[in-house]
Amino acid sequence: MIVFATGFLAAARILVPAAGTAAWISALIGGAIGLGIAGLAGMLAARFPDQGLVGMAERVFGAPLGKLIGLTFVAYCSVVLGLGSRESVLAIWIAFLQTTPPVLISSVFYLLIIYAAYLGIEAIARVSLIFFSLVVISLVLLTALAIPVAAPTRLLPIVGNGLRPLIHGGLLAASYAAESVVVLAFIRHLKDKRGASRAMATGVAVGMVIMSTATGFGVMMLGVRGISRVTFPVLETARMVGFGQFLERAEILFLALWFSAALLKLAAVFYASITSVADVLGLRDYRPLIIPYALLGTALSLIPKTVLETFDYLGMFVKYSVWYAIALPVALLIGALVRGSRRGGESVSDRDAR
Amino acid sequence: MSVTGMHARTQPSAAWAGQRQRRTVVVLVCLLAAASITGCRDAREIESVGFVLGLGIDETADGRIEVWAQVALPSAKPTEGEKQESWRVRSVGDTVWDAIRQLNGKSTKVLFRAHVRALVFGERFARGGVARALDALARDNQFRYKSWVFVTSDPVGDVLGTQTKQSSSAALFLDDVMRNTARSLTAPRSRFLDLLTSIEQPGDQPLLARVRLVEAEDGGGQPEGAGGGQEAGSKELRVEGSAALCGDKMVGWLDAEDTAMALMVCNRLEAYSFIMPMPGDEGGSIGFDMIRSHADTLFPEGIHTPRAAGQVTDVVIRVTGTVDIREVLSSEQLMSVRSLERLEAGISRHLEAGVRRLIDAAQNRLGCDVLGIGECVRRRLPAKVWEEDMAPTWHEQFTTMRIVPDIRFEVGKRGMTMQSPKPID
Repeated sequence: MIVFATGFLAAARILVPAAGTAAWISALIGGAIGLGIAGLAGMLAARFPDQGLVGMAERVFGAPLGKLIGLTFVAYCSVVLGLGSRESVLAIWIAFLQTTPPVLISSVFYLLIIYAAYLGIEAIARVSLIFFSLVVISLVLLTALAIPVAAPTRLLPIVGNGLRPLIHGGLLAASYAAESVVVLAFIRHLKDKRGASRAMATGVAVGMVIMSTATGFGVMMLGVRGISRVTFPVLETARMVGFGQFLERAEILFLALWFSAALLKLAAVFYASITSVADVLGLRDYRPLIIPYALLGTALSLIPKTVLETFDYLGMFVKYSVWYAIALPVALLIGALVRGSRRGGESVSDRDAR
Repeated sequence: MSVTGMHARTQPSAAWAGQRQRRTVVVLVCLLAAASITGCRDAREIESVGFVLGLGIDETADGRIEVWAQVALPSAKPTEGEKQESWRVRSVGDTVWDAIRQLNGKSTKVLFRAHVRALVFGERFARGGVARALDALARDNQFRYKSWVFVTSDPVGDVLGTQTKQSSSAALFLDDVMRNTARSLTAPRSRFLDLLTSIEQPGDQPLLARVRLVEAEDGGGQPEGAGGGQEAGSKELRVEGSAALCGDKMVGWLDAEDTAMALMVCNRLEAYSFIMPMPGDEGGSIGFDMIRSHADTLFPEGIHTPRAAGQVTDVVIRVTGTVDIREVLSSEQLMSVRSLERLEAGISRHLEAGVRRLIDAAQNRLGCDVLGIGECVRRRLPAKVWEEDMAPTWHEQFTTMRIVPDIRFEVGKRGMTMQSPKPID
């Protein structure tokens, strides 16, 4: 859910201008790059099975540099949180709750995130288990209902704007898959640590297949020009589908489920951020940080004043963040190899988990 | 009571109080969210909402925009005989949005556009460019892209005001026609979404269904499907033929047969019925149902290369398909292989003549690619070549290219009887 929950709402707007009709293939290429990142992160997790990201960095590079790397990770998570929550809030505000102030929707969003973070990663994971299947069912249903409205010939020519734009689109899409590095902050809580790599790879693969399907159907229904024009392509797809004359205007049901998925993703990112901050500051408990960090997150999510600004920031984020997500595990792995570091240490969320 | 016992009782009661306090907080938060997020403070009852079923847009003689809305009137007694079921309102403005916003001032109900079934453009407005309406409607979070789009040469207000027996309003009647009679309809099933996507593609120009007001036929003679169902003696609605658009501007009408040929060439014809003279010397006529057709657009070799811009000069439209015999009024009963072959050749010639007429109309009268040939070129070329080299001049290229129809149809089923019942002389 971390991979697709917020991004898929507007991913097509970013991928289609780059790759044209082949945007859905670029999402799959992004998934392949994401699998590489998941593999690297899995190797890191196998090397330091009892460490959070800050712990790993401190073990490899020593405390000062490790804390600095931890802070960059917190900054990355904060941007994911800010942009993700802004995107979800905008989707609800523009399409449904036009008279509700967005700051109010954002506040409710953060209240729920705070509650989830307070309960801890186990609660988030268990609720995600329930919602993941519901979200997947909703997407399968949406896909099935979209088939009669879709025009598959709109996916031609198959390579879209050409090979170079396709690879460029793949790199943009990879930034969504790369968000899986957030898991490094809490992967130590996995019961079966040997399966970390496989679990992350499965998550990335499923997430990117969902994103590719959503993009492909968007192009089939709205065309390349249409998809670049609409604000939230997936939402527009949901508005167009129906079953006979008795299941129409059901997009609010879809959005309610997707909103829940986004909430859980952002709660996980929020949790990753505050436990990392606590690790950097050497705090025994991350909970005192929840409220201040939630205020920071709300403020961050309100920085883009307009939809245009939000998509500009999002465009910049997907352009560059993939390189950070690749560099982080690569640097830690190379450092660990050079220094021969392995295992040990204890961080704040280990203490919390106990 | 011992101290230990008191301590044991105090601890659970403190925990219980804490739990209760937490629950109270959760309930309060939920109530606060429910009250503030759902917008219940300004909730509207269903009676105060005007459900817009049909929207009509036209241009006045002095160039202003007039908009009609056909609004359903929800009532506690829907079956009440004298109860008016829908209401029509008109407004005039400088732009489409200006006119739409003025509609709100004329209605005692809050106009809700999520249920618009039919969007009817007047001919004058369509010829001036429908893009003037698309922006306002595409931005609207209520309006649905699934709404049917029509063009009419009659007054839009009269079209939306037509009383029908089959449906409670003209908009619902049009919606029913488009949904339920697709297999007998000689009009494109044009939705708002199709219009949005096709006006931007020079190689796939939109055809919008035409709706007309015609004199109602006598009660007993009401045809089923697209045409009938209105009160005898008054005007009735007929959905037949199409309006051809070049970009967003209407450039002409296509009659029912031309429209069917255009849909067949674009692989969008669901079914088509036609009657033609029996080939050969026997005389009489024969009726068919076209149950399957498939069109391929064939280009010269090398079209896939980026140098294709000047190469699309000759195109072959090959259509293959099957027809079922539905009626034979001739002494020729088609009982030999030779007679069937002659019939198949006759059908192919008949349809080929129809396609030739369409090609002539598209190239000379309309001057735009309603055949979807450009769309076939676009699919074969690198996107950049199409967008930069071909799309800007496609209309000119289309009008000068040589398009050759190659139609091959075969006869499928001939019904439950091999020969016509023959009375004794």
